[in-house]
Amino acid sequence: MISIRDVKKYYEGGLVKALDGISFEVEKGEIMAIMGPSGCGKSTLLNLIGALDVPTEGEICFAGKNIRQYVPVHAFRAKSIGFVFQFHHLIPNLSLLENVELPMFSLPVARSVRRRKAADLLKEMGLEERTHFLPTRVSGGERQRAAIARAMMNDPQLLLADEPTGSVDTVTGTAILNFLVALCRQKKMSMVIATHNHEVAAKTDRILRIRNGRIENTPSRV
Amino acid sequence: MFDALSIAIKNLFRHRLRTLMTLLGATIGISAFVSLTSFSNGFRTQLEDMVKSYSIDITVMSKGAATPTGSMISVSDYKELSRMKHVRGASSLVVGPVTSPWNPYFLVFGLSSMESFLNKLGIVEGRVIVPGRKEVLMGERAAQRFKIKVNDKIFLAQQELFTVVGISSSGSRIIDGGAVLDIQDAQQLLRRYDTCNMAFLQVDIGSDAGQVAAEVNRRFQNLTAVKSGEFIAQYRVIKTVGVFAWVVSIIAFITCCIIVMNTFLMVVSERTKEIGILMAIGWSRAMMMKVFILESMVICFLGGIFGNVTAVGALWFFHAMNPEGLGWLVPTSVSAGVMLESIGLSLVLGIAGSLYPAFRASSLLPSEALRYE
Repeated sequence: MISIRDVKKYYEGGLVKALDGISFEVEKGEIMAIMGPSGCGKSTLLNLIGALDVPTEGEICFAGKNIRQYVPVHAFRAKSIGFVFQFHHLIPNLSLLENVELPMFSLPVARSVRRRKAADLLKEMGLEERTHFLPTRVSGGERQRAAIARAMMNDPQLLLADEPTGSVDTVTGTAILNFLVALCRQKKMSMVIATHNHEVAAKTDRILRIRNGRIENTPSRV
Repeated sequence: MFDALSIAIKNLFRHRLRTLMTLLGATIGISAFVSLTSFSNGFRTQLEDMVKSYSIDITVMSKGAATPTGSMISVSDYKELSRMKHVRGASSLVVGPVTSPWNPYFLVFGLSSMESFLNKLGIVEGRVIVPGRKEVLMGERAAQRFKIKVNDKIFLAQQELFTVVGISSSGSRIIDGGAVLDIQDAQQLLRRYDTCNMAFLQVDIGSDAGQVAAEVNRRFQNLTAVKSGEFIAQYRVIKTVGVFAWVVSIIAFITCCIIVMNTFLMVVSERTKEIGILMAIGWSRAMMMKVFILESMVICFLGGIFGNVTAVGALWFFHAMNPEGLGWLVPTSVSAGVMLESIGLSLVLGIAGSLYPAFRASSLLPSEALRYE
């Protein structure tokens, strides 16, 4: 599914080496954790995989094709990738339903179809009663579930989660993580989770440890 | 488009006070444009109506005069004009402001030939004036405003007593806001004993008014003659007022543009992280730009609507206030053409003010936008 070959990402003309030669692969349907201390390059790696940034060197391939060849890139992100962030980042003045619809705005889909799909996803997340609520009117866990629904809107092949349980309490975080993993298994979706939490990493298929922009270990099966 | 518009409208309610202030700026700018353009157009229309009111083929003023009140035609020149070949009739006009107890800038018109203008003056009450009797025909607007009736005695220029013998309605706000007198009375009031301000010529049937006007210009180096239809275009004050209105309108437009641009630069800065999220979940740069530009266009469109309402109110206010007796100059309505023009301008303002901020928003690198604090 994803192939990362000797990827480097430097800033400030090479003075800051966020990633310094990373190589690994993620299979279809596989759930992988990227672990490491703060500032080790986890988020940078997720951004590169999600085509939110461009590597300084190296190649990232998605379904056998270099992601730079996916044009326009926003359509690639919309159709193939789902993002779940640490803080839900829902738009505060839009209802949960409207927030979940957002990824489909760039695609030629009828409004009624889009609405129905978003409503179905929220129902799947157990948020049927909160469809028309603003994010400020629901709990942190509910917001994160709405954010997951948003990430699933276009049936992505790959989910990228950057510390998805980082902003909620332990119990809610565990529930969210179990939910994400079950979803990926059910839909045969690959997922890459950036985390520094061992309990989160323990629920994945493989763990990749990064330190100072380099892989610390050969990604081990859990 | 509907989706982007729907989000744009909802975004306007995120910071209500800021939206309101931007709306206020757009309203004031559009209001300035509408008021000044209406004033300029109204002034022109008034003069056009006044000229069209009368059966005049050629209008003569002194060369270089910016306004009729600044023009001087001597009696001898006038007599020579009236005797020219192909001229079958001539009349002269003396016009100027006099002070009166109720209006410091009261326009009086002295006509040498009432017959030429009678059917256009439209006597609504009373009768026409008889020369030599210190009689005045009051315009309908002036009569209503200052509560003057037929048979009233009024002072003009603070010393001359006149009798109001009739009230007229010509349709021209300039004339209906003043009074018509016998030309000799007007000359005495305005101290123009041997001159008149304008001369009006009627040419023989079948003659070319343009050729007669050209002949006047050739023979009289100190005078300018134009066909009456072209008189307004030559009238320098019209041009000056028009240019003034446009210059101030452009300044207002640029100011509004800056206000809108400043607002949306702040909006882009505040929503940088949100822009990153939207790009991450698949929004295109074009969609991003569309939402910002539509937000701006909605505010400015509303500014256009409110600006028109405010402009009408402002025109009514200045007309009613009658500052220095010049309230008659101010129109009390806005034409449909000016309204449409102002709405179009408001949409252009919305685009112009938000284009750069929208471009900046769409140019952000998603990963950098996500890191923004």
